[in-house]
Amino acid sequence: MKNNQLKDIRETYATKFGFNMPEAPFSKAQMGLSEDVVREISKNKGEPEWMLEYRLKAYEAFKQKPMPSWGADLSHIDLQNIYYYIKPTGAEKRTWEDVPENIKTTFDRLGVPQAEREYLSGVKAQYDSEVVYSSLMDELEEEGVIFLSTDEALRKHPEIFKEYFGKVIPYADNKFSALNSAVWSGGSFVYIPKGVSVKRPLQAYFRINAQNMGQFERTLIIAEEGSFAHYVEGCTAPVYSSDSLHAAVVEVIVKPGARFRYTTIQNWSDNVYNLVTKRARVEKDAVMEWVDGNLGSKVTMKYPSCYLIGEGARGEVLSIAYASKGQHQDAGAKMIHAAPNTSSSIVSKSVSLRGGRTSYRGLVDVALSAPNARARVECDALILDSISATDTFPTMRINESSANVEHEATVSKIGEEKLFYLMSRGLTESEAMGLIVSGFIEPIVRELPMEYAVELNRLIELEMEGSVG
Amino acid sequence: MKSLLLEQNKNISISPVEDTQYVYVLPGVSTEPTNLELNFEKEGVTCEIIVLGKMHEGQSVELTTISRHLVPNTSCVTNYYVALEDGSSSNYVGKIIIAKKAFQTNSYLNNKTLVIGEGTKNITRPILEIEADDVKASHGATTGRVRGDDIYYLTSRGLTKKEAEELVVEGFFESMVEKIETGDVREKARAGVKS
Amino acid sequence: MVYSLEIKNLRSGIEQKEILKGVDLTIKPKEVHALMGRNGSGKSTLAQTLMGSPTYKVLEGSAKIFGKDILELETTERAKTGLFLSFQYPSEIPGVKVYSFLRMIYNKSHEAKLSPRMFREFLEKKIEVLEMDPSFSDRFLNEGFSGGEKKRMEMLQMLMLEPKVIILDEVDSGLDIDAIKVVSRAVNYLIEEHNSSVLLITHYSRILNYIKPDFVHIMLDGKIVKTGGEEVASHLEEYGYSDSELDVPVLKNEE
Repeated sequence: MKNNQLKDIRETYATKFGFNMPEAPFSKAQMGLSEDVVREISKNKGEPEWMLEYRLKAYEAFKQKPMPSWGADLSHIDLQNIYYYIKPTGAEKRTWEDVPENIKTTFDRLGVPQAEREYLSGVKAQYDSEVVYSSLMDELEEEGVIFLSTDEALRKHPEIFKEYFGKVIPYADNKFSALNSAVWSGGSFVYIPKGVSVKRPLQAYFRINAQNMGQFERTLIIAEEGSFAHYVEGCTAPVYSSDSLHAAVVEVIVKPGARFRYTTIQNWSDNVYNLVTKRARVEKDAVMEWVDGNLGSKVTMKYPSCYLIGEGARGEVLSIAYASKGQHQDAGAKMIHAAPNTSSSIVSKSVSLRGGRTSYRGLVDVALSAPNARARVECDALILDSISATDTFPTMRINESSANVEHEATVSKIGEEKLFYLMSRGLTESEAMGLIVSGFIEPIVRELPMEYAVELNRLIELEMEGSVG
Repeated sequence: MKSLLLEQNKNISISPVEDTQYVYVLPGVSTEPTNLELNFEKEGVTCEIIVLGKMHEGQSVELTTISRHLVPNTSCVTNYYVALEDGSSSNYVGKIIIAKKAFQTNSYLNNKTLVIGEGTKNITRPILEIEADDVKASHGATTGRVRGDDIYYLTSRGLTKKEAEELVVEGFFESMVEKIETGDVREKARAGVKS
Repeated sequence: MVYSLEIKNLRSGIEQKEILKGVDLTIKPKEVHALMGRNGSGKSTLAQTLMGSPTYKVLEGSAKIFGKDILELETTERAKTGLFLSFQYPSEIPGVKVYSFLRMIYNKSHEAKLSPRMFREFLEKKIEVLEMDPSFSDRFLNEGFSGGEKKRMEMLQMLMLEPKVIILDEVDSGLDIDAIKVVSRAVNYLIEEHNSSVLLITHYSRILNYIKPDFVHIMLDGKIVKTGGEEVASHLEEYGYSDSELDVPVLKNEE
């Protein structure tokens, strides 16, 4: 096999994915963060007093908390060189027709429109910090499902909001949850009433489209007893030269017997720091599933967690990390077993190429109060060339004698004999590599809604075109 | 491959020059944290680390093994087999580090914790740090109790529950002990996990 | 005359070690050539060298498919000339569904694409010909397949590609007589319907009862040392490879 000449696919990113659509005019807040900025955000949104107080307390915690001393390199983030709030000039839109043409075009070039068209009435998309359009299916409304932007939910459903907001992830949990709690804007609010099963996935699209614009979405999900729903978000971002920060917080409460699945496919442009705190509280006999695909960004640190606090609760994480040139995907999962007969499963697949680095970082914690816990962790890493790297940092902390915990990890490269075999059937080297990579992550891709699976495989094909010379 | 019994409770750092099985039997009582480190600096060397031990009631062990591959074409299998009695604990870090240019490295870490008492604590951190692509590295870690089915099966043949448990624990270690190639080291290891 | 496959003085090997020491062989459309010889004689090396395996290096000589020199081509390009190798040890490709893979290679090798429905019908017929369980198409490529299942999967891919030059590397090993009949049916179909020619590498003459060879070659130490008709194979069957004329040590009974 000849030595592959490395080609930077990112250079052609804009033409391939159609990014860099002209921005709609925005009224930008001032750069950097101060108490005044926090007050300004709250005032602009017309929030109740308790939210302003919450934001201010969070801001104090943010100032005091140190940057994480572990994980990826965050030393290049300049927190004073970021806009913490941008309000689009237009008001919230109700229908797809009202969505600006240039946004539609970007979605179109990305190959996601099937999902848009099919699930149009259930779709929410976010354009920077505010919801650009939102429309809700009538039948969902009839069943009492609430699917709103988080800002709107605070206005329309203040009681439910106050009861659950910040309860799973306290503002002082870590530096970036504190930052989010201080300046959050946008995100989704989902409430599934008792016993309601939502058949079609609830979808939302996020993207960043303003230079130096931080995104601090706040998502809050409550799945009442015996309910079921699947929430899907896909993220894409245009290419910009200066670093951009994304620090979302996602809180999920899964009540007894409910099942909730949260799927994320992120393809941030490679200047984005993506530092997300995602956590679910899983009650008796409830099931929480995180499906997490991290493709883009400069640095991602994200460890979706399940706190299994009710007997028989189950948590699952399926995660894909894909790191190319200049990227570090530090991703993983945490499973906290805090009740008897709880079970968890983590499957992580990572691919590193063109100098990228993937790290799996995970925790399985079995508390003394959790007899008969079962946990299984499987993480596999694929390295495509000699300049890329991968790490695995799992921790298993088992304080309960009856626990059964299994962990497996492998690191491998694409075997020459596999490439040869596929090429002997007429595939080019890049097609063969693409196929092997797609096959490697298939166990997770098959859990995605079809449009996302198609889109993901298409992205990998495009990436592979640049990986062999 | 020759086997070598390592002294207990010492920080050990070795750069192996020939194929060797390093055997370390945990003292079974609490000791200072211990590091056991193999630095592969000679090409073509294949080694094995075998750590065995039964932690007695209330005792704890804190051990780190490192297999650091610095040159091409070296192999290592690290085994950490520990059984935990009532209230005992194990805190184990098993690192595999493969440096850039250490191609054709083959490194595997195998950690099995058998819980035979109540109130045990077990922390396991099997870490992989891989900078080269043409390598095979993996780890497997399991923590579990003696299987009820196994005890049932043995008691059905007339053993008492206690005898059955002892037999299972013995078998747990024996699966590793029998792989020790040098006779006297094997016997010492076997005796070490019986007490 | 344009041959399907024309090999001249082909020498190849691994690193310093020469394995093929000058092979000459010409095959015309619709011809079947059996290549026999003991383990290590270079039969598989010839197959792998022709397909462009990265393991083997060409030292000298030429190989042409319909007059086009293939030795400088990437494996992908060789496949596009109509060359097909049924691997002795096919790779397992986890996560890649047989159905989508077959559709992919069909579409790549045919000008006229089939609609998903038409392709499924086409595939179902082929699966039937090979007496395979239809659930095969939902499995991952070769993953967890038995030896016999892998061979059938090679034949199924061959039927998708409809190649002009077929190399079968011990396609019969590990197969019972019924499976050999099935494999032979697939190969004979391509000979009849697509004028394909076949280089059949085998240890045993058993399969030659079902795929009738026009020529039988005996390979020894990287060279073809004897060429003849079917009688060569029957001779081998009777006396093994110990024939004094060929001066080959006795072949171990591997069956």
